[in-house]
Amino acid sequence: MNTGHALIRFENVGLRYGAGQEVLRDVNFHLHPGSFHFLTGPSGAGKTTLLRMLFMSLRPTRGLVYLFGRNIAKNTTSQRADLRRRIGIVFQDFRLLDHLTTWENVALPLRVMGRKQSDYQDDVTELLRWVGLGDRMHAFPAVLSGGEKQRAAIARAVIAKPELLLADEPTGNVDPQMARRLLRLFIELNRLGTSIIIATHDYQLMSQFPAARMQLENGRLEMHE
Amino acid sequence: MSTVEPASSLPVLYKTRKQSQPKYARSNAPIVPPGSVTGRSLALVIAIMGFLASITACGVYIVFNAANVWTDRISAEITVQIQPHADASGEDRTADIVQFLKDQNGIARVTPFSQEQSLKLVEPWIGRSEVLKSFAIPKLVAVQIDTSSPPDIATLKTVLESKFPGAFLDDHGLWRNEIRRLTRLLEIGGIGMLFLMAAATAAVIVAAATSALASNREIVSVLNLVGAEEKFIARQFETHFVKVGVRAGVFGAGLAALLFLSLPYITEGISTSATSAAEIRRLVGAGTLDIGGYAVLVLVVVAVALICKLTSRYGVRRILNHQNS
Repeated sequence: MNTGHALIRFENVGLRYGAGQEVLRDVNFHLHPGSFHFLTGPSGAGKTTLLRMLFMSLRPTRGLVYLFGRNIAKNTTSQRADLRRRIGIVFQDFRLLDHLTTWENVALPLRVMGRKQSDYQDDVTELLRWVGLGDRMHAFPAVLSGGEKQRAAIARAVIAKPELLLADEPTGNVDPQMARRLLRLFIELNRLGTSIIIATHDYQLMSQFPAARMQLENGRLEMHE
Repeated sequence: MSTVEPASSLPVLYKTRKQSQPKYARSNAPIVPPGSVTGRSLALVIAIMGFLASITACGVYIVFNAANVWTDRISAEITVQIQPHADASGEDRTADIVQFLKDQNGIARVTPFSQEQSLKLVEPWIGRSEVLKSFAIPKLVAVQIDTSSPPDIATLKTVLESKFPGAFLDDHGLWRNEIRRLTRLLEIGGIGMLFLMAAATAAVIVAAATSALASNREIVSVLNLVGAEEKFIARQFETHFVKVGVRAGVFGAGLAALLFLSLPYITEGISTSATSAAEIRRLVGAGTLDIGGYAVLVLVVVAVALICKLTSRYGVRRILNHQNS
């Protein structure tokens, strides 16, 4: 098995919260750049936990995790921030900032990168229109519906064209037509080189695109290429 | 199997087309809301610290200037003391010494004190009495130095004292040293107080930064999520603290400037028969600030802003580092 150019590599990874049982056990896998995977499994199987480990907000209690060829345990805080700028993430609870407008929330990753507003203004506007939030750009998250918040969170995750996109139930709050539209966005991102991992139980969504599946069951991971 | 639409209608950022769009973002909308970082009580504490620091710094400045004036005045004058001799006329010796002094280079004016003037000098200690006139008290000669070309005081002393036994030249070195020692003490005390105020201000800001981070935990978490570096996050907080620091510093220094402007009127108010306003002015000057004094106030504002900037940066980064490690 050649893992030399793997984008993500897990070696015997285990994770437990406190003194409880391991929620992830002996997880071994590697993903190449440009891959597209659905991460699936029953509720409580550890999908969100795995995504959080991939995003470096959780550390494994054992084993090694390599991201972009780097052992994340050896990262400094600055290197971790650097890696996170290469990753887009969509959380189930959206994590939008209530005091910023939808537009400002979506533009946040670009602002953090130090880019000028005049450089990304058109891109943010166009993306928001594309996800159906053209008339909600100046609205604050408090007045957005669940589906609108989800689309804003997705737009924020993809605006900087990340090398890796992690999405936790990204279509959970949108209608099937919007779900297809968002999937199309993910596919196009993938076509342009972004690796995608979508955690979902939505079999209808998975049936629309022939991607490999990562199946989590009782804390163990099986790969179905 | 795929039922997704073709990519032709994808958003512009995934294509090369560019078009002008209206603005939907407030320019430089604060990522961290100002109200959630610094409250009025923090601004009040910093303003009070700025006021106290301004008073202390300007007080030291005024005393330093006054001390320079005192030492300059003292240095510009020497005194010759003539011990009364039983075998010669004091007046004659005085006249000879006055003439000798007038003949020296670098002497601007020589003023012998009459017996009455000399007695007036000791009057505060021993009182006024006709009996004193019969005492053989030393005669005094005040000598004004030409400060543009002063004489060599040590040589003058040696020559004078060898030529006129019983005459002593006092260059007021003892007083000069005392004044220097006093002003040095005041400077050290003032600087120590400024350090204490700076430390208190820094401690207050660190506490405020800790509280600001706690109340903005969600914002910090989202900023981490989008890959913001610690220095970027710290800057979001730092900006608010610097703004508060500048405003509070200007307020405190402004209040201090007003106080110094009104000092002559306050001096008039506190003067008594024992210490007239004129005497107080002679001692420490009018108390108002010159250009240098106002520059000290500006420096205080800059220092307060710097303390706010550096302390909040250090405080926030230390906390973030601790959270992320």
